[in-house]
Amino acid sequence: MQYALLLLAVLAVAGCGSAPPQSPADVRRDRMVETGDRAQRAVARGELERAAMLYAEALRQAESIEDFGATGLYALNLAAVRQALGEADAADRALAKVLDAPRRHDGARLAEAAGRRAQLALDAGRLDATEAWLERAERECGAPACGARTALLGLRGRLVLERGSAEEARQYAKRALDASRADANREEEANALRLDGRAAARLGHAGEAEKQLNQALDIDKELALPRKIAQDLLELAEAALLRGDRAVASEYGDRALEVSRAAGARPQQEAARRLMEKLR
Amino acid sequence: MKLQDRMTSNLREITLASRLFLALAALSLCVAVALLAWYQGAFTPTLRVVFFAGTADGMYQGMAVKLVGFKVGAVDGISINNDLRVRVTLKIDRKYVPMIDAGATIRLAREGLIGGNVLEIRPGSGDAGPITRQSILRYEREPSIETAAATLVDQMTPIVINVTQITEYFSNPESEFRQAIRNVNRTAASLNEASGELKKLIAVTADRVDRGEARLGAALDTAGRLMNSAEASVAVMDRSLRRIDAALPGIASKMDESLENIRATSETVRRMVNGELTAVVGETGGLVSDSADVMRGAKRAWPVSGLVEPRQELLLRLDSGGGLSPVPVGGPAGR
Repeated sequence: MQYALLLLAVLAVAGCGSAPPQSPADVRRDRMVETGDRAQRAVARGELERAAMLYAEALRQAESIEDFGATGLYALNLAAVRQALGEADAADRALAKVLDAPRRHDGARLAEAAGRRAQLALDAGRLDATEAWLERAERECGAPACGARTALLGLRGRLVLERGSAEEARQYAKRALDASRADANREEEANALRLDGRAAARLGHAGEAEKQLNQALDIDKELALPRKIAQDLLELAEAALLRGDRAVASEYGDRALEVSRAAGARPQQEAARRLMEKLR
Repeated sequence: MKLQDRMTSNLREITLASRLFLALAALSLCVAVALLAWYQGAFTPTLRVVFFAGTADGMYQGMAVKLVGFKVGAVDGISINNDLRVRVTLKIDRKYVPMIDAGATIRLAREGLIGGNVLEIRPGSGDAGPITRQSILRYEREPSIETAAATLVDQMTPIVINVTQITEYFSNPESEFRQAIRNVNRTAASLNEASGELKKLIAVTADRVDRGEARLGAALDTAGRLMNSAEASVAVMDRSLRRIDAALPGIASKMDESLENIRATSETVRRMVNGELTAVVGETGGLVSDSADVMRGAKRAWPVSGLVEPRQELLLRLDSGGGLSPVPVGGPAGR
């Protein structure tokens, strides 16, 4: 009797231990999500080229089964990685997958995509295009699903600063800082501080600029974000230059070059090189 | 007395029970051994065939013998002959015997890129009829990637040597070719000089003929000398060109040889890429895909499923500073 019970128990455990059957559709979806996971791990390791390749593959898989949610997600992720690699055209093409089919995606996705396109335009110095895309992003970004509100505030601040209104940019930076602290969004907190520092530098307040930028640097170091660290160091070099301290500026420039080189961050590396040439 | 009877009876019962238990244990052991023997093919009628190999590397007793992917037997024994040939005896399941002809070939192959070795039976033409007891089969080893690479290196070596020789020949200042070219250059220069002189002389001659000068004879003499000199130069040039002409067939033949070697090598590379490497890559791809499927299955199975964190899709959200910060995706995002 005891043996029979033991046998039954073993059979029951074996039954529980077997994997539930999967349909071919589930297998396809699993593979797609797995590719996305691998891309995510590549991003975490800083292997952006590989991440871009994997996101492109995940996007293809999502498109092949017409999964609009996944298509939007992987298109946005691919665009983010391409942008980080300094490949603006490729990033733009990925965003078109979302922005050219607005009926297939919800407002939050559209806001993310429009916001990123605004960012690409801002990086390229196309301020009118930035304004247009930013307006669309702000229109699409409805609470509470849209998590890009704080980032859009920061982008608006950057646009205003590029247009020459440093005072107004500082107001946007303040709003972005408050919003980021309310959301416990440390990355945006550092972004807001960096924007404030840059705006203060434009106004000639070198000391204040350095204070804000150092706070941003501390957060970025805490979060271990190499590209942002390089950016902070570059801004600090500019602020030191504003004070007329070329030696300190040169030191910050050196550090920025070192960080961006180690992280393989091409745009920051080029910016650091330009700064060092200016300092020579 | 009564107590003693009861004790005796109890002892008898215990003895009986222990004997019964022992008998059951012995019976179970016998059944287990029989099952194991059956599983190992001890009761399967088999036929023994033989093949000879140059080396026993990669072979071992009990190794699987496969026919079109099915296990049809195993290696029964490996021994070495006096003439240093390895004799391998195979035990083939009788039910597969009609499918294997005496002209079949045994091949040592690898199961996948990282799999173990197996002996594969490649069917023959069928003319020799099915295998019989102690039939001797032909044996061949599957060419490995290492062998293919070594072949490639062997084929590349003469090409490199030829190219080096040709380059040395052309670059050597003492070679006939370089000397001939130098001569041609020198001769062309002196001809050019002579031609200038001749042109001047002809102009002077024409002028003097027009004026009927008596010194015409002397001028014609000079022209004659110059013509002789030009003739000598042309002779030198002719000799040089002849030498080049003589050297060229050798060079051309070397070039032909090199081109033929390159053609043969590219054919090997093409075969490797189209055949052997494709198969290896294909098998690797299948292996990776299978492993991924196994991992997926294991992750979904209890109790591992309880230890693996549920999947969460992540969005690299918009970051006003251009960063890459992943956040979990909340709710459906597609329409």
